[in-house]
Amino acid sequence: MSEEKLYDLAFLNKISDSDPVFIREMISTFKEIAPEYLLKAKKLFNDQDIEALSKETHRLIPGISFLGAKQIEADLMLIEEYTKKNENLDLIQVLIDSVDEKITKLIQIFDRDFNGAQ
Amino acid sequence: MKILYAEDDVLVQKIVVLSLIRLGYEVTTVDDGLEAIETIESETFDLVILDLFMPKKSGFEVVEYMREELKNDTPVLIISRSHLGESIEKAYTAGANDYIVKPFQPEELVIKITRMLANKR
Repeated sequence: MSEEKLYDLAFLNKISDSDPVFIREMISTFKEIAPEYLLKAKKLFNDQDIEALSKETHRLIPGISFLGAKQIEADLMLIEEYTKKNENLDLIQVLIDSVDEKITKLIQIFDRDFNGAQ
Repeated sequence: MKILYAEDDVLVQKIVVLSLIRLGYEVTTVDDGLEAIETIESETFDLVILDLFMPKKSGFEVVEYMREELKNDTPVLIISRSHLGESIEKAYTAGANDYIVKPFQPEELVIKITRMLANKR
């Protein structure tokens, strides 16, 4: 996994004039909502509630995109595509695991780069 | 100028609110479509921004309710990840005035909002 490409805050810096308080707030929000998504996604997939999984994934993508987390976004877009079309369902567990690994890594990187933004 | 913004994606909500506050607008936020309708029924806004796919009531349903039941002609900007022509057409048919696709550039949002509020004056 390429650490350098896990996030890019160019958009947030641009929109906030590099306001450190705002950037930390966004990172803190990501650290709250991303694990919540993972818990929901795993449960919904286990319950085979594919439509709800699609909606939850759809909801998370724009925020992830604004954080420049391209690798996570790409996995999420595949989950959304497969759940919408109800195809390649056997790959979804692999994608959820991949998102889990990347989100965990990204949170570690944010903690390192932003001294544990709360 | 008062703006109501209905959005269930908290990251996107924070970004848009920051942009609006920096432009000097007073922003009220809600997290779902039903709360949006209740807020519109009790307060007056200069602009309403609606996410398309929200819990309880979609952006389509909110704008349709505003136009048909409340006879409320406040300008409505729809924000959505869906760039499908069908969604855009449905939003305009329901009564939306403009549409922006997520993720968007900050300038794009600012231009649309400024234009919509200028038209209202």
